[in-house]
Amino acid sequence: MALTHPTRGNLRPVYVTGLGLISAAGADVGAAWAQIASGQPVVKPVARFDIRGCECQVAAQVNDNDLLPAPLRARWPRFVRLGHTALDAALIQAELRGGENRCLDPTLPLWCSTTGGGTEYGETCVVNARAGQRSGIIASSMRYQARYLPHALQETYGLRGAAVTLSNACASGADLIGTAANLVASGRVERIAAGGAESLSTLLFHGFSCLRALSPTTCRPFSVSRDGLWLGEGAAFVILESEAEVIRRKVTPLAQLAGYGQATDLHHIAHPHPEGIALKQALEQALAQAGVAPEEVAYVNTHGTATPANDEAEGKAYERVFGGHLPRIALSSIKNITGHTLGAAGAIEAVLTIEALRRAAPLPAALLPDPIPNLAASLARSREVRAHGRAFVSTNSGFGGANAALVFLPA
Amino acid sequence: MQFNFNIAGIGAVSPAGLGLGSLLDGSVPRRQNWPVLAPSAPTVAAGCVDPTLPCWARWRQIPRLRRVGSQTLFLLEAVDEAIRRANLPADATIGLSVAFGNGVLTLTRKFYEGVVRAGIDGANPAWFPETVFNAPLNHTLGALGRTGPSSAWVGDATALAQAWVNAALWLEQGNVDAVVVAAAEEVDEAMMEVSLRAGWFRPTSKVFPAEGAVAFVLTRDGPAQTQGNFHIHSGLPWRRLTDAPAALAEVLADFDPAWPMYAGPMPPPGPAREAWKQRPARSDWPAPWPYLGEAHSVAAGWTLARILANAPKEKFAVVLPLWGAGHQVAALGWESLQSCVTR
Repeated sequence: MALTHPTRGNLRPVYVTGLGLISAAGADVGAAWAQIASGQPVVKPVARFDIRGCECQVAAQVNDNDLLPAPLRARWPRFVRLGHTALDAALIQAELRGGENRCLDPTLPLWCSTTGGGTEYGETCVVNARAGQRSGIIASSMRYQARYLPHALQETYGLRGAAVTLSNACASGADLIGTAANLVASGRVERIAAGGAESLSTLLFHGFSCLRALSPTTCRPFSVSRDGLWLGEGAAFVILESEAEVIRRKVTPLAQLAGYGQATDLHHIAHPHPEGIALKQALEQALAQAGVAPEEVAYVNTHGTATPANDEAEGKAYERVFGGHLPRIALSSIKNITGHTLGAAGAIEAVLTIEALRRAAPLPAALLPDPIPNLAASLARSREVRAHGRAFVSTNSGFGGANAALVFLPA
Repeated sequence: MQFNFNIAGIGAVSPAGLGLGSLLDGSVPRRQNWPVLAPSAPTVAAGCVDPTLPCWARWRQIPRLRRVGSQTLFLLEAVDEAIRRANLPADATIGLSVAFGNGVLTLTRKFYEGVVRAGIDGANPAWFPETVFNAPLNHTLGALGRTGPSSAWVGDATALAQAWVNAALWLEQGNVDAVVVAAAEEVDEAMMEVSLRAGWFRPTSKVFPAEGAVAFVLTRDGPAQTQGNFHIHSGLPWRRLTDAPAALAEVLADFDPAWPMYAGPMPPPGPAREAWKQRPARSDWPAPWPYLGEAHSVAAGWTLARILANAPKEKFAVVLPLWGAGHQVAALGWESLQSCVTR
């Protein structure tokens, strides 16, 4: 097999050979795609913890009761359970999963992202310790740690490579995948499993609720009358490989990860600069690294939280980067279906953007009576059956001014 | 993995004081009693940064820093020192790649305890955005008026290796003029509770938790305090104590066998002792330095700073193993062309 993409400077091409995903929209990539295409929200009332007094009472929650044997369900924090499901699917698609849960490449580095980690265990640890309870404190604190995700998954699959955890708030997943791709592109590593996982918790729900970031009505990304986000949970993984490995293993690449950009917005810890300056920088960097002109972009899977500040600033960034080409580029946010999955969002949205690339079709935006005027044509274009252009892009932004963009090209 | 870059400046905050010099002059760490979460338990002593130092009040005069946790201020002070020592131009684009163990623990715990106490009415909207791992990075770049990418790597001491890998990639790929690799930790009641339950405060135990920060400025070229080839192994897991030496041997196999391993004085029994036996160790550098406490990547960074500052002026090489509390081992190796770190 010959792959034809030229190298980008000193960087080698990087291919995606496996995808795995679980979210409230579906327990695999195909199911999630169908749910998003249907436009039907999947949020349900939150019953797992007490949210009395919060204006919003719903979230996009995963039913993971049937996903794992009971002993593992009891032992692992929820974010690890979700991460395991997604990683398993990615390994299977990449033809790296052997029998009895073993990975055929035992040295595979495992890179993970999350914001809260096993927050429910951290909460238990604090409450029990305050009550004077001594037993279980160490175990709870271990399972709370963000690093528990790669460590538990390494143990499960018998992996003996590096275990890495990145936490750049809601851009974590995209930053992690982009950084992993750059390491593979540098020629120092041949293959990395990279992805993110997030589960809902008391702390996270009350945090977004007290900021009045949750919608008391309906999550409507890029609507003029938008009033907030819905939280969600889930996980996604990609397997990134060098061209040499793709050829050696004779696997079929799903896409090329051609560009990654990152920038920090210093305007405010929780609010983007109103002109979307850092997202613009990240997007321009990613397009430049990919060697893609703005007019070659077919689709952007946006961050699109549906908070008043985010969507306005994000729209400004797209106007600045794409200029007059913007109306011809399809834009959509899937957070009205998947919910905002925080540290997993970048990974989930990257996986679905790759799936969109494979189908040569954008993920459709929700039908809005009042889209932001300058984005209306792009949102409408996302509901067309075919995308026009070679590059598919996914962007994310987060607290701490994190902004990231990934550019995918056909393999 | 091998990278080429210069180390142009080092900064440190520790229980021994402020600045790189305080790591090198034999200062005994400051110990301070802290409560744990359990209501009836006695206080226990951690290695703590002096909260009365005037720099903290000075930083808090910046409006965005009024509500931040101590970890953010430690990081900011260490990064500021490292950048000043590196004498970087005011308009230089700087990336910030930081390793954390526990993150912003105090504000996270306080936020959650507010929710437990009073539900949504107890949730403080000013604290919640400060609980994310990368919040201190944003404040640090903002307070110093610098722009560039930033990433928060989370884990035990091996996270420091990943922070170095990320920084070296940024430099190599040309998006920044310089990168600061850093680490920061803060002591909190929850951390003390876990340390107490882990038996760290038994009379026979020699370890205690500590807080502080460390920062290294990396540049591609220009004036350097240390320049050369940096080798990084970003880590391997081990499950049982008996597996640890084999894991280290596998990590060290990536390095030139002639390079000595830094071990300091003989480590206590355990994986570090076994490793110490496996490889010739440099014993000609000042040791033992005062032990400053356990602080994940920060403690590893303090050791690296001490090694670089005490390295000979001529060409030298050394490997520093990073033993993570989460059963991981990584290593940083340095083959230097020259060292002229100013204390």
